[in-house]
Amino acid sequence: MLRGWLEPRQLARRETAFEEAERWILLVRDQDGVSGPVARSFPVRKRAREDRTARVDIEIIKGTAFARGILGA
Amino acid sequence: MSLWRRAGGGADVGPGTLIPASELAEAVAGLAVEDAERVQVVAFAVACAVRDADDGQALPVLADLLVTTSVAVDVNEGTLINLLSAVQYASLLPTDVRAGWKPPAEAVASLVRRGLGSSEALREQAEDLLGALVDEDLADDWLGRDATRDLVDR
Repeated sequence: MLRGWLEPRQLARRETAFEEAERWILLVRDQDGVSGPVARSFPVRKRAREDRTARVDIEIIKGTAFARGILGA
Repeated sequence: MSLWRRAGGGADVGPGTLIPASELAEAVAGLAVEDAERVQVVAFAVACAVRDADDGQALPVLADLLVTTSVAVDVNEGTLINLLSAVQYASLLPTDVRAGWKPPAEAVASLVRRGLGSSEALREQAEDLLGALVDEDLADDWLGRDATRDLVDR
């Protein structure tokens, strides 16, 4: 859903970061979620200097997130 | 305590609100490592401060927190995520903001080893951090030369 809020150029810069974030969410799902508070970021690496400020952040402020029951199998 | 506000314990401070470094330093100094929940909240607050503040004032607090938690026998997964993130955020800060700051290498190496020996999600995060430190040419300084050799070439 978050992807839909971004301009195509913003999305293109963060494509690999989104893929890494999704992979992390699935790994966390397989271990029954993670309890907050936690902060985890997926920066754009190995890109031009201007791209290095681009990243995808995940913050879980309270409770357990990404558990299998929420995300499905 | 405002760390709890940031972690959702109250309504008067929203996401993005920065906790002053002095307040974080006080929280780290008074931290009892056996209080796992509290350690996780403090680690979260420090990680956010390193990430969001543009002055690098949270970096010495991060150094203290890394040392404090490195001696804890039991550190929960959320704390490890937050500590690995905090070191990652520090590595992403502009060089002039870091101003020669280095984290305590033994504590960072210990944190990375803990991450590598944990769940797959944590192992990937620890490997990401290792990769970032190598890319930024920080590995020797931030992990120590011997630990870098052990961890990167393992």
